[in-house]
Amino acid sequence: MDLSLATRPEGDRTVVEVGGEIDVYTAPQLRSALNDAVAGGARHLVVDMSGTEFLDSTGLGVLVGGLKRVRTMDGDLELVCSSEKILKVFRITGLTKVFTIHPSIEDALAGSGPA
Amino acid sequence: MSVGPGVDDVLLRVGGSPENVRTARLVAAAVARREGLPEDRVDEVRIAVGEAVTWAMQGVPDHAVQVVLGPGGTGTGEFVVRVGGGTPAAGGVVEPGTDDVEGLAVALLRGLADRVSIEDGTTVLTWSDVPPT
Repeated sequence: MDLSLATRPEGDRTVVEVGGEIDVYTAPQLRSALNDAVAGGARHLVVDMSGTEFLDSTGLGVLVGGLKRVRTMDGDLELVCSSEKILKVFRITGLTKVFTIHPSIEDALAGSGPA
Repeated sequence: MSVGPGVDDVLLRVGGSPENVRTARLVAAAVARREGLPEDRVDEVRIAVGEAVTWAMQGVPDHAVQVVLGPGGTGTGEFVVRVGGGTPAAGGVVEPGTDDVEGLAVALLRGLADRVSIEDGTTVLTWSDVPPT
């Protein structure tokens, strides 16, 4: 299973859909996708992991790196994830305290929008 | 690495390409399942072995990492994974919010396996209370 990546605008947000397995082999592609989005002007990123089947520490590092980067530009990076297996990886590493994690893309895009 | 595989063990030699980590994960999950671990623990083994192999490769990108998977001995009720030939996933305390991948990897190993130890440069991961098959 390779990684699949698709980036699209949704209002003032940019959604990056990630399918497949994010690990030490595929994480550089995710890093590039996030970097490209930011280079294209995106500041409010939503990484939709609804189709993500696996996530390792390398992938977590890329997500944290992306979050730090957009925060320096007054942006944010939020996640969509409902898979218990993947949420467990965030919990063990303490990253549930760092990321806003939505159960669905609808939930992530609803509400008042980015502050 | 001095520990040879026992009769019920599976020995893997993983070349240093990151692409091989996924293969190591798949084999680890298959052996864990064969040894009777329930599915939630099979998933712990899958993630932890990926982390240990990934980390081992950081130290020796041109060399193979060796993985031995299997029961810890007759009647112990354990499932043991030894990852050697590279850099052991040593220590460090992970701070929430870090993008320090080593810290995240160690946090995952400690959070997923029942025991993590380093023996002669080999990372040893142990799952206990494996139901008899």
